[in-house]
Amino acid sequence: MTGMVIARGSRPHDAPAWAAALVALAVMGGGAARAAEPVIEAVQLPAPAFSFKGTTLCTRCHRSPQGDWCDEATTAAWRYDAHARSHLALSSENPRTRAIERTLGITAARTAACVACHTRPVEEPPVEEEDEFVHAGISCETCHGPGSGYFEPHMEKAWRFLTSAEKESLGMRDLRNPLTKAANCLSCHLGEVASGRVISHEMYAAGHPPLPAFEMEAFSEGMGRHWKRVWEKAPRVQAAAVEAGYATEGASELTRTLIGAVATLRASVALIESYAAAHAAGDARPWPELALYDCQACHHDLAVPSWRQEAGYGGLVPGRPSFVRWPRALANVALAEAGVGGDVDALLAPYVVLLNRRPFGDRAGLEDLSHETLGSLDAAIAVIAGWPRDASLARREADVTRRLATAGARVGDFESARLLAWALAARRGDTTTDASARSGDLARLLALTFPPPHADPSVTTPFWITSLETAATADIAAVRAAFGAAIENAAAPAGKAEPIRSPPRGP
Amino acid sequence: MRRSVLLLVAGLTAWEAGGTAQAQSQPCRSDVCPQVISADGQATADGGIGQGTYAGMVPDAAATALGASSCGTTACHGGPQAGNRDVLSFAFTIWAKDDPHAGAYETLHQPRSQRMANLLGIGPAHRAEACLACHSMQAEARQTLPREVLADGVACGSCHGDATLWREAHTLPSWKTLSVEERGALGYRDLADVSARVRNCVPCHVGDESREVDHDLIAAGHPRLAFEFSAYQRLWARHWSPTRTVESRADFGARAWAVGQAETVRAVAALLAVRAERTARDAEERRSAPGDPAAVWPEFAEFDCYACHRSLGPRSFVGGRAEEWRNPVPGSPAWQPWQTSGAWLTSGGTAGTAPDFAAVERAIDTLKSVLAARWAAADPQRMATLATEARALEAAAATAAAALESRDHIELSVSPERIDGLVTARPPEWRTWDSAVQRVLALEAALAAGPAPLGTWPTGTLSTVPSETRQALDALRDGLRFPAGRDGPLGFDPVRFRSLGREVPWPPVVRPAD
Repeated sequence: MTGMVIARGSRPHDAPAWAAALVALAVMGGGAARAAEPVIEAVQLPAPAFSFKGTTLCTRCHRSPQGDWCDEATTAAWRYDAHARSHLALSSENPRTRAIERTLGITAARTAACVACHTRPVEEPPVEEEDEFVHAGISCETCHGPGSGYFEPHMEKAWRFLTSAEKESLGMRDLRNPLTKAANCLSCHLGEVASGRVISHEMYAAGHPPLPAFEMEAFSEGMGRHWKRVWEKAPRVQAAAVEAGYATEGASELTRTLIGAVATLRASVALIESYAAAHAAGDARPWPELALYDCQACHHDLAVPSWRQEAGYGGLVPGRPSFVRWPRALANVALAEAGVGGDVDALLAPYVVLLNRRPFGDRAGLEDLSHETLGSLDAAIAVIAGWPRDASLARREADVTRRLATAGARVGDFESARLLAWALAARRGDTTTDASARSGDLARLLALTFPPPHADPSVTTPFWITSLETAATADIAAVRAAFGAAIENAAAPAGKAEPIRSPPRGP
Repeated sequence: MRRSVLLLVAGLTAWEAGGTAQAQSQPCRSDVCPQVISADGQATADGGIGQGTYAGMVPDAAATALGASSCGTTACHGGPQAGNRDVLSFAFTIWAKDDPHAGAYETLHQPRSQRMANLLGIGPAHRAEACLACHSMQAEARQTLPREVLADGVACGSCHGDATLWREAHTLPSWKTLSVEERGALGYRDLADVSARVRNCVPCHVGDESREVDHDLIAAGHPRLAFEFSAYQRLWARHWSPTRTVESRADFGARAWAVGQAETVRAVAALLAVRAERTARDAEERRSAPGDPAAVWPEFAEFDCYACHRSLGPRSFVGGRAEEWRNPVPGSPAWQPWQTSGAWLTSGGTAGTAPDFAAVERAIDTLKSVLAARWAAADPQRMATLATEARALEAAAATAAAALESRDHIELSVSPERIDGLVTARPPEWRTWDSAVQRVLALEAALAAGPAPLGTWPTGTLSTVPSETRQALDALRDGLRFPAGRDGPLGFDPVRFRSLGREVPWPPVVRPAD
């Protein structure tokens, strides 16, 4: 299928194409309390080639094990997944939602910018009635793709041996491919202009919780993943997969983490580029959009003397906001291990020049620059993806563990530290939902552990609040010391390339 | 005391006068001057980077017309400070001893200044044009000032004008017969009215086309500029007698406050217009170096500092309490909360000013609405609109200041109740720390609304205020203070401040000071 058509320039990126495009509506609902500029305007994308079948149909089978490959009921984990109840954020009964609606003069359930992330695509039949298996939030097909093309074929045994491209051609996004998965998750968890998934600064100011620093594998564990890795399945299944050259599962845990890290940096650069391009094409979006920049660049209490002034500004004129920073630390480790693309700071140095010319940088310059940067990052991803799954992986694991600990020992901010710590914990086989994880100090200092998915949301502190509170009182020196201690232990990882444990599921 | 004053005066005038006339420039030597770096480019203990030169040691006659060395001779204005002498004879002495302006250049040698200069990459602070523009009289000079004139800081010429043409004339008896215009033609600035004085202050304390403290400088470490003329007057060591000047007027305090606010609004508007015009003109919108006054928009220093500069915690995301927003569009900082609240207070707090200030308020509201949404957008049309509105505000403020100045008597109607009424009328705007400070200063100005007290140094003009009122004002001030080590109002509670403000005892009962 053709790639996503971005508003201007029609440059499909190298990331595997989405099979279906989402048409975002530009309906602003509710009486405007003020003359509001539209939070998003209509984005005309080509009509999707496939149509949605609906969650009810999926769950008819996937509520129970489906043979040796799907040997667990998907709904067993999904029923506790926060994504399944994401639509609750659009409800006017939610006080936070009400406050945001009142401030912005919108009705969340009818506003494209809210609907784009918080619920299923508009073309999909809505869920009339929820039950134990069917939920009204983000649906199966939101991530896996509209099913009219693959509904029949995916029940065949041969399906599991198809390549990513073949699956995509029938409309299913191959989420076992780390790049596809990154593009999918980050479209909401970081933002994507073409699908209307951008949280503007105005929305944040109105009360929208901040997007957390996102690490692919940690968050997959934290959501209570409703899938198994191939090597978590029965040995017979694993053998069949290996024999068939089940290519996409060839990505080891290490490779997934590193590709995820570079893909995250790539997504943040792509967001700048596509946002700038959309603005140039006459989009109603304002320029500059403050949400593209590092929150803490502005939002910090002033102190004199300050660690900020002492740490220096890395070539930036003092006081200039930089772009979102947190993807860089982990991406740097990945690029260093890949040996491609150099240091992230060197790669992003041209942005400093643009940001120095004027606050927030000039739009045209940023658009052009971002396009070049994307190419470098794609090259790095290709190198990492090409690593053979052999004995050299163990050496890479040790390498990366050491790099992570070293980078953490000089980390500057809470969110970057978190990404490094999550990746480090994964190297040790710790999961993010197990509170007894071995990386005790870092887990405590950085609040690495997600609340278990089955925890009662009405009595559990939301993770984003825990994150903000921990960040506010974080002792970066102690964090660095904890990483430093990890450097000594970095020489001897668990010895296995991937963890065997499944995350705990259900109550 | 007398001896130390003499020594001080002698020391000041003899500073750096090594005696030898060196016509050509030579490098600053680290064995001579502690502020100079050593040959290997390392900073000395006092900071500073970069080898430098200075223009010759012999003072240029024309240049010293600005500086204090000629004015401050013992026989003229630099005499000893003694009770039986006219203050005019020791004006320089007071200035050199007590006036912070005298130390303006010296500030550039402090570690903080040097650190700022390093961060900005503009060379040593004491030679950087961006710094010297306000911290010396370089901006007023026609040529590069020699170092000993720079070292005077902000000296006589800054306020009294370049003395080249009147230095001798003003010592003659005929001087008294000259009219204000004739003196003005010689370059002598007449400081008879408050407007003229404020116009001396605001080029540095607010900024103008040749000098500004923008966000680049503030982020590097410079304190923010927030100017209120009457408050600064009360803190200032005066080197003149109040009895012969406008300060002896019965409404001087009120005049200083009201006219001071109007003139400062004018200067703020003019600076915004300069910035907007500059940005509109600069098609390339490029700045070649930090400190280069080329187009930089958005200029963060135009907006409420603490709208951005506050840490985000869970309580920041409690959901928009729409009625509490400081400005119409969430996420947009308010424009100039300091000066706009000063303007509104003046308009509401000075009897009979409403007509004069109506145009000012309208112009402010227009500017705020232009800057509410898309405050950071810098396209040329928008900049042109901004410049037009800013010039309109400048004109309105100048008219209002002139109208106030022309009055025989200015009466303040400031009281806690009245201020609270103003707050009710503009709820979102008044939650800023800036407006809270202006409210306290307005009350203090009302208490000092009469003629300036005698004495040439700060006397604590509120000493006759009854203790309850003073205690209440002190409590308000405590609520505004920045915590130690912080440069922002952490823990400032606008609701609590407002309720405390209502409780200040008013009118203050006159009784013996305790």
